[in-house]
Amino acid sequence: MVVATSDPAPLLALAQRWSVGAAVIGTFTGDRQLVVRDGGTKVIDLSCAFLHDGRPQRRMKALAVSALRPERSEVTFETVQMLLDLLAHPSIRSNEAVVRTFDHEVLGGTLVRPYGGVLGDGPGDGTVVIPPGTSGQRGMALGIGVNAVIGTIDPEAMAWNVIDEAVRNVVVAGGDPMELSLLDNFAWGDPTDPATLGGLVAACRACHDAALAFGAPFVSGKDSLYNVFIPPDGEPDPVAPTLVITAVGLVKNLAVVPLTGVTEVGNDVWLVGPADGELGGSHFDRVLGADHGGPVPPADPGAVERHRDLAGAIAAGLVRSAHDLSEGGLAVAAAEWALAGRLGLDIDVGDTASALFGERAGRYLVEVKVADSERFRALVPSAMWVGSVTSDPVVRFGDTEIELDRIVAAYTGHGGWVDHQHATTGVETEMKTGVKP
Amino acid sequence: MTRPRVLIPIAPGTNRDHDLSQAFEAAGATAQSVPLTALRSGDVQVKDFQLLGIPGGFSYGDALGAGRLLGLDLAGWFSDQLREAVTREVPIFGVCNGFQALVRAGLLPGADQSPAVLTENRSGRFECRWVHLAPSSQKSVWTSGLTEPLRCPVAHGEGRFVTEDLAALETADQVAFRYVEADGSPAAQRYPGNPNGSAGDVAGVCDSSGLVLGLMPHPEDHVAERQDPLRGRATSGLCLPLFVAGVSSV
Repeated sequence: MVVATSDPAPLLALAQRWSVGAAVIGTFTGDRQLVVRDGGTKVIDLSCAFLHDGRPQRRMKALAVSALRPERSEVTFETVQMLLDLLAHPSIRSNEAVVRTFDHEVLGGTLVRPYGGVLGDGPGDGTVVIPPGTSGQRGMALGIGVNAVIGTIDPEAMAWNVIDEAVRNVVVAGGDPMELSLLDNFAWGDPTDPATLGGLVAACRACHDAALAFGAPFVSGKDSLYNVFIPPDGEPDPVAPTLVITAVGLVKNLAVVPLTGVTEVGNDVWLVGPADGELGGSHFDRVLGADHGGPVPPADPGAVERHRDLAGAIAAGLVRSAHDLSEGGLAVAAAEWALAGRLGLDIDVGDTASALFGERAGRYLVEVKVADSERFRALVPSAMWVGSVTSDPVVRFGDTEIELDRIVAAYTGHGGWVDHQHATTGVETEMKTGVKP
Repeated sequence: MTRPRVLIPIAPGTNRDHDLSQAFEAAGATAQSVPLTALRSGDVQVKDFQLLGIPGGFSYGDALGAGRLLGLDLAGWFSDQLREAVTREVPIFGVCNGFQALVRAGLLPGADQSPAVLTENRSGRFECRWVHLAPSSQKSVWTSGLTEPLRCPVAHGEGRFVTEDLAALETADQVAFRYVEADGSPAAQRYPGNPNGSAGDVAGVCDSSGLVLGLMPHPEDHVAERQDPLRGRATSGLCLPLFVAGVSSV
């Protein structure tokens, strides 16, 4: 800690009050020389010029990543089974058991939690906290974007898409997309491999371009390179090029923050953004077990406008609930949204794979009261009416029906939590405390 | 009318003093968070307060077990001041880590009951989730007049209440709160209604005087409607009445 004072006594007293060790270990002299002493002995004496610039800059080779993709091949799928498999996919299924091992209630200022809805098991998008000392109706929205698939194909597109996802999360949480800050966390392979470094350069370019497009500065970050597993007798196995983006946004009116999960039978459902997504690099292909080609979700600077439009509708108090479209596309988002609200949905966007399972930046499902729909449409011109909230526990996509029970089972049935409970029920008797069961 | 003063002692690692302070303030008291070092030095004295709230967190990093060192502080260093407070009939409320410390210090369930421990959750994990609590005794000043179930989060890894003689505790009416299901029926030690496997679904106990209450869940995190995860839907179980009961008893 650097303290601009000639009298450190108050700071040292504060440290002592909190049982924190603190000592004055040096001062800035301005003589451009780093001097370290051990008692009376000088052990380091270096010029600052050498410290800052003495080391020659390393030059590394990067190979540009080709974004060319093979044509998409025809695939067959069964809609219900595909949706259930997607809901159970490790990138999509419930992480609730993990999230609950972290305290997300401390300080009493949590407004929107990672899991919410009627029974607390529905996935939210962004979270909202009200930091101590915050006055009025303001809060802070936090969004996270990550995609485990696209980076292996096109790191630049991956970076755009995860930045967009983090921003979407903040918008759904009632955050203002005009007042955003971003953080980057790279997990990458060996940068001395030119192709790996090329991917990193492309991802960084996307961060630069997206930051300008979204008007959102990167304020911090953390990078982890050389993430390569080397088996005792095998080829080095690097992690997928992965970027986790955190977006932090200001919530200006806590009263209009949308709820997690659909809320009320009869309300309109709107789709914000393009009806079709891309299937290249999709979780749909992951479930099918192969890359069937086709473009990955592209960089989409135009999504900025949709974020701002939706934020405007939220600020106007027109949005009851919303959910962003990410891994698994519209069908997965609709299923999660219905699960969180324990209500049904009747949605019609056609039955193509790209409409149901395609992935693309800047898309949302939004629940609006029928009486507010006209005003909503005026504020969000890219929105398309796609259906309604229903009372029966069924999610419908046109003629295809999936019972909510099956959605819940697929989504939540893979956490291992229940099995764990069963495995340890013998503990009580072993303690021999004489407690009556 | 002067607002009663609540002392909230904090150790390194305490993290819910802010929440507890807010809850007491909302209930009409003036709360002051005070590091134990300031109590040791005598800068702040227990005798100047009318209530005592021992907050949650990870005091001393939970070294040697949750609440253990804070319990030793209470039973050792501060025993005279605590005894003075008990003589003055100062209501004491320990939440989560504060409850663990009161149990470690022997103040709960109290010298007239067999000892208890708050040990590892049956799941073996720390867990943060909202629970339903039924007030099951009117004995304590903190529960006096409470009839409706409360809802608030648990956030602990060592919350399973175990005692040698639960029946004696029940007979003495010292089980203050039990975990229940959403419909008010007993959690019957089933997860997640009973989040930690506590015997008898015990979430909180009081001492024989009714002045000292310990509770694993965090009622201080549900004193305003907007803290409820069911905000905008069917909110219920606001915990403010518990703090009001304690504050208005002095």
